[in-house]
Amino acid sequence: MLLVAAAATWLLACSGDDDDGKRDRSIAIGYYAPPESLDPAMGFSLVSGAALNQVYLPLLTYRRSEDQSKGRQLIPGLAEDLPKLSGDRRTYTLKLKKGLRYSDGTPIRAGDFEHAIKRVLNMGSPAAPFYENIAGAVHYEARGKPDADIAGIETDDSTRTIAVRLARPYAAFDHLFALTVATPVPRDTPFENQTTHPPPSTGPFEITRSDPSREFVLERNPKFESLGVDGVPPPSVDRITVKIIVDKTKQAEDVLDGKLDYMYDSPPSDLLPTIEKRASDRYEEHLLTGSTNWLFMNSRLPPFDDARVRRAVNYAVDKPTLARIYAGGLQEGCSYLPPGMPGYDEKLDTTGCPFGDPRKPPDVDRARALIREAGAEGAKVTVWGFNQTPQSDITQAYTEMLNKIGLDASPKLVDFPIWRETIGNAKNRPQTGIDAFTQAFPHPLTFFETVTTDAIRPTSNKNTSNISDPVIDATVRRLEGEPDIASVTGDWQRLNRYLVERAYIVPYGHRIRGTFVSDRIDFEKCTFFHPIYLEDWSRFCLKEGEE
Amino acid sequence: MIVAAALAAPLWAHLVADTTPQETHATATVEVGGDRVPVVGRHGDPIGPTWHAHFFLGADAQGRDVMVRLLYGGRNSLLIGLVAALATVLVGVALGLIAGYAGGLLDDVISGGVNVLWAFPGILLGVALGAALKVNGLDIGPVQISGGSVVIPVLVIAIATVPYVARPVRAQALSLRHREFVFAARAAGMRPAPIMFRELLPNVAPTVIVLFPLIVGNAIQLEAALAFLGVGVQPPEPSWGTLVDEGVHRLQTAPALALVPGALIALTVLTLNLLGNGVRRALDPYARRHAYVKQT
Repeated sequence: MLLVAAAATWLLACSGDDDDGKRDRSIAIGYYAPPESLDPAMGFSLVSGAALNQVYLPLLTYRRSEDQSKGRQLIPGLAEDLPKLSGDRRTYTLKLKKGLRYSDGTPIRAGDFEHAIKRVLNMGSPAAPFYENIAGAVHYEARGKPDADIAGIETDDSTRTIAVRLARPYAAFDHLFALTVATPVPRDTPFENQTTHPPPSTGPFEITRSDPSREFVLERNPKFESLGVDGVPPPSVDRITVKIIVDKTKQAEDVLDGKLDYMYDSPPSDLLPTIEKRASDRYEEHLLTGSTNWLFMNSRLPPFDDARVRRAVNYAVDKPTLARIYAGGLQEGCSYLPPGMPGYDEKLDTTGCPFGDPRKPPDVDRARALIREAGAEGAKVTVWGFNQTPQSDITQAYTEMLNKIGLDASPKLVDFPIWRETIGNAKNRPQTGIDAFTQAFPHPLTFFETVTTDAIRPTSNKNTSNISDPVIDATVRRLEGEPDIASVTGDWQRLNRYLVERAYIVPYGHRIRGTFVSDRIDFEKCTFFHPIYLEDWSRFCLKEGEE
Repeated sequence: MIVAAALAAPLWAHLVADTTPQETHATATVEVGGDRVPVVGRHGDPIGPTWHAHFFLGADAQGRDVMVRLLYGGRNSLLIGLVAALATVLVGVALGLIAGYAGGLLDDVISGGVNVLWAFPGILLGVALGAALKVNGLDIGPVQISGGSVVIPVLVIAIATVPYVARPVRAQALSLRHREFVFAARAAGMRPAPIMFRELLPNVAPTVIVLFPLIVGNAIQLEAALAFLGVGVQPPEPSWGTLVDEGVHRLQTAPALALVPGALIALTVLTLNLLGNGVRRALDPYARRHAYVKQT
């Protein structure tokens, strides 16, 4: 009996230690919604991306710097160097580093990259459209045979080279090598969603347990440091348990009480006064999130097919009110491109806005006059939004603003999971509503591709305003072939202003993110806000004595 | 008093609070105790009760006057409850009388349909119907109702509560059809429809009258539940249920937003139940005699 008791005491005493006798450094993170996938080929939302960025290091990556311009710089990840671009700007050539291994010890080979892209195209990944510009990719997709070849990708395992040929030049293609969806995966990875058994990792962590509807666990990748990736430091904690807790208030209370160490989403507004009072030293707000919120106006449907009505709405939208409803989570603005993006013009977001300073009250009289001039008084308008806080309130407030200028508007709120499909379906005749976009990569193309005529679709339409403008189409086509972004920043800036001046949409602000961590985390030293990856979990570290 | 205050909501709103239930005042300020206070704070925290005409019970996240929304919301909840209950009674009585009097195959068909409805929990049926009708509304021939219309919750509640009237009325009609006065009416050459509505209806009327306040209370509760689940009255139109739903997100900082409409629902339903009991006592001679005996 005594022996058993002694053994149990010893086991308990040792339960927090690892093999080296060091304390286990574990943290817990709260997610408000399950990630839609933890398979690198399928996970493309912000929620999935936050976790996958910690696990899958692609051929290229972004410099780990909080500085806006440095943080947006591409650096080699698994590749030896940045890609070489051919003279016709259509072929990218890279070489893998020597001796790379996945977290399970399997060697990483050049052909694994092609397998990853095949999975993206074959499995209908939300990121597939980005890679359809690879020569032969559309043909590969159409054939539907997973093992078929993609003509535009050539790899050589022995020389570790990867060559990707595009159907037409695309200035932002080097950024596509830095998306987690393009991370090489072993060639025996099935063409099925591997969320519950994600492929071995190449990044700082590996996923060791995955039950995404409840929780998933990331553990330090034992092979990561041997990859020798300069500029991507090894993680400071050993294990991260991500728990799905739908109630954001509960999450924030748990972070306050130290039951959770970080919540992925910003804390709910009604807890902010408490956080300010009790934990202001571990809460911080960040504006540079690469996102813009706007109100779409379908220019193919009345009354928004009249530019005067669209201009009237731009004059009428009370942006300070919308920012107040966002409870500190939104900076008023007028620019389509978000702060930090090449082509962003700060003046457009303040005094240079053609419809008045967005930080000031709207010009309702002018808006009413324009509505009268257009003969649109009493026009029936349905405003589409979704049932979540604060988007439901934003939709209602916007409806009221339309009613104030003489339109007859009523809101239609649908559930969030079906909202995007609903407003993207032409059969529903969506006239106007809320919309938002967060950068997929730090290039203006990611924003402007959704406002060209080519982007208009009968279903899953991302060009919700149905913008079909020859100037926008021609400029985007010209600029997408210009690989040197610095030389065309002015063009992007002018295009951004043109879109706003034509009143196709009403950009009303850019999201602000709140980072809130527990008292165990060393907030001063170890919270790191990256312009692309946002909070970098691998940098979280515990205060001394909290391990 | 609640009913009167709610029905007079437009007078209150325009003359006293000087706002409509939809008007937002998020960036406005209001004078409280000599200071100008923002209606909605920087962190989205709305002002609490001022106990003055403006923002008497405070504001919501959009800076809308809670008292005004409560009064308009009460009007909507009460009207939906009353209209839905009337529709339930009309349809339920008609179905119950036809099934009970006609019997046979017609009774089997009607009772079968009513039993199917009865088998579904009311709230589940309401949520299913509400969700189906919410986005695209109803469009059957000449009947066109938009998804956001208050007619949708009326319709949903009426359908879900029809069995509560149809079943007892059918049971009564079944027992009455073999009574002498019905045989006499038939012998006098009366057709089935006049027999049902001239002879049977007056006899089932007391039951229906007693049931009516209870059905109104039930309809108000069901409307609140549907609105809370997002399939009842659609925003920005207020109802007590939508106000509870909106207030739940702010329980920490502004508990009155959810608690006051919740309390008003409870109070109204309780009042209607008491009214139902009173009507029953007034119409039921046995209950009256029993009460008299107890008193003496």
